[in-house]
Formats: sequence, C-alpha cells, structure tokens
Amino acid sequence: MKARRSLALGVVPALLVVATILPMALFWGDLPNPMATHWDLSGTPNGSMPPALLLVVMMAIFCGIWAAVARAALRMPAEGPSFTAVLWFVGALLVVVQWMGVLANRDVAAWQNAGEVGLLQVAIAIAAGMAAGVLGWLMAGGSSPRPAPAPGPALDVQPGLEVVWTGQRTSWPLVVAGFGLIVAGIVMWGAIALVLGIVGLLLIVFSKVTVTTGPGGVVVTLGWLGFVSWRVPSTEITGASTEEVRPLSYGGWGYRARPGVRAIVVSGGEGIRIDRSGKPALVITVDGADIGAGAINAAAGARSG
Amino acid sequence: MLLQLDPSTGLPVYRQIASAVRRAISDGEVSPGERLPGARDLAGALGVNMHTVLRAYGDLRDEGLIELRRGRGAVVRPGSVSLAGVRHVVIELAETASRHGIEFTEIVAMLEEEMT
Repeated sequence: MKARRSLALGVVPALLVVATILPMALFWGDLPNPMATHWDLSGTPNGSMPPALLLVVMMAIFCGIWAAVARAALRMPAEGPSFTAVLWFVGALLVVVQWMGVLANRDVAAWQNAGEVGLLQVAIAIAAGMAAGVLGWLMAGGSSPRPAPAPGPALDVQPGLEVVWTGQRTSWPLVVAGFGLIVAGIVMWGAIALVLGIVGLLLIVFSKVTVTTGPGGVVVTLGWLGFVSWRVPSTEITGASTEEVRPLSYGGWGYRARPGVRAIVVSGGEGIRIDRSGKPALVITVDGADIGAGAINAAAGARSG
Repeated sequence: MLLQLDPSTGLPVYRQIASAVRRAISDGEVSPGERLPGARDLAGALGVNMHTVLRAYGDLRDEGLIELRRGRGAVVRPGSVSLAGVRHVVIELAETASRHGIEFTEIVAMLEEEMT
C-alpha cells in the first residue's frame, strides 16, 4: 500500500515534472526568445514570454499543487485516490499544454509566427488530463463496487418538534486544483485561458456542498457563494438512507446521472440518499449523513403520521 | 447542526427559529465561530419566506448572539453560550409574568433581590 502511494503521489508526479521540462530541454535551441505563450480563440499567438520564465511558471503551478496535495493526502489517507486523480489530471494537462506550446514555437523566427494552438488542442489536453486522472484514481486503489445503501437511521426526536439539520462537505483538492487552473489560465491567456478558467471555476463550484433539511423539504447548495442551489419539496420525498459514496462508481465528481439516481459528488465518503416518488433518487456527499438522513426521515414520518 | 423548532408554542415562525437557535447555542449544538445555515437554505428547508428567517437572525444579532456579515452569513459570536441560556430564561420569565399579570417593576424588584 505504501509503495502504491509513493508511486501515486511521488514517482509519477516527479515523472510529470520531467515530462514538462523535457520539450524545452530537447528544443531549447530551436525556440525564439521570447516565445509565444498566449493564443487567442482562433489559435493565433497573441502573447509571449521568455522560455525560461514560462518554465518557471509551469513548475511553480504544478509543484505548488503537488505540495498542497501531498500534504493533504498525508492528513486524510482515505482520500488518497481522489488526491491522486486531481494531481495526475493537472500534471498531465500541463505536460500536454507544454509540449503543444513548445512544438508550436519550434523553428520559428519570432513568436508571432508560432503555430496554432486553439480549442481543439485544448480539448485534447483536457481529455489527456482526464484519462490520467482516472488512471491515477485506479492506481491509488480507488474503485470498488458501490456498497448498498444502509437503511435510514432513526433520530430520537421529541414528538411535536420540527427538526432542521444542516451539513456540508468540502473537497480541498478540488479547491486547490480549481485555483491552480485559474492561475494557469491567467498566465497563459487566450483560448487555453478560457477553457482552464471555466474548468477551474467548475471545480471550485463543485468543491463544496451544503445540505439543509427541514419540514418543508431539502435544499442543496453548491459552491461558496450559494449561487447554485435547488430544493426538493417534502411532498416528493419518500425516505432517506445513508450510503458510502465512491466517486468512480458514479463516474467521477460533480453532478452525475445514473439510471434511477442522480448524484452530487464532492468527494468520496458518506452521503445521503433521498428517495423521491416518481423521480430518480438523489445522492449527495455530505458529512454527518446519518443524522441528516435521520432528520429527513423524521420530517417524512411527522407528515405521514 | 441540528435545530429543533416547537410549533406547539403557537409563536410566530420567526420566534420559533430564534428560540431554536438560542437553544442550539446554549446546548453546545452550535459553537461560537460556527456559521448558521444560510437564510435562503433555511427558508427553503422550512418552507417559509426568506424574510422570516432574516427577521429571526436580526433579533439574534440584536441580542448579541450572532454576527451578520454580507457574504459571510450568520456567525455565532464568542461568549454567546451563556448569553443564549440567560436570554432563554428571561423570555420564559417575561411570558410567565405576563400570563400571571405580574408587573414589570415587580419583576425588576425580584431580580434585584436575587442578584444583590
């Protein structure tokens, strides 16, 4: 297990660093100074930077995320697979972006003549990042079959009282990766910046979820400012239970749709499963899920009895 | 965080909310520095208007139990644990007094007697 972990959070990230440096080491003499580092949406270069500075910026972004993730993984060993997936995602993304950037600059007289890096290349980089993320997850021992939901726990509530419960879950790896991508986007500008910025913002939105239950229903709020929020009215709710959520069994993080179930996955761990009449069940990863499910059942019981 | 509202008191909902929060603070269910549910979230969960929740939070702020800050929401203030407990007893005292027709000055006299 230890060897696996040092491979996931040590050896492979180190190889990713080497792979980021490699194109520059190979083609250093062929690069213009400054070289093109920004491209606009159509793929035309519109900004430049000395190659050495670009290398320093790339290294700073990745090593910053690496250090933060490794530290957090030591504190929360159960989250190892998620941390690994995020780290490999960012690392592979940067490697591909770096290779594309260097190759586009190879053998050109001035940075303005550099080759195209547009949305297609960005899509390829993100796809490569995602593939690496999934690989990292599997490597770190992530996936196992989805466990069955535990029956809804009973909460000891005095009859006549209305129970309100609120809980939340925050995934720091997603926050770190989100900010890392936004910073990388600001540094690179152009088409890549737009996509990195959007992906970064999405990661941050899905890095925190708040669940509030009460006699009127359940409110689920995403992100830090509460812009994204929706409500399940109590009339739809038939009952609640808890479930041990593994992100990959739902196909990853974020909002996941599976037959008969919709899931909001911020990180692996305990979650609430809310069964709804005539609609897919809703699974939300949240701390204190057993008390939350109990509160939902208490509210449902109070209505029917 | 678990809040328990008591509709059997027949009080307006905003007072039920304030009372439930006070109880949660004095019982240690919520600690100083912790954030109360967002007004919109709590209103949705209770099935009431958001202004009802804001009114309750406004009262709790006036009692010195919580702080309301834009963007940060309602945060329990340090030192509010004992304050919430006392406020709860004072409210009960006021209700009992008015039920039995005991005048304000009499209550003050009683308190003076007990506290000096």
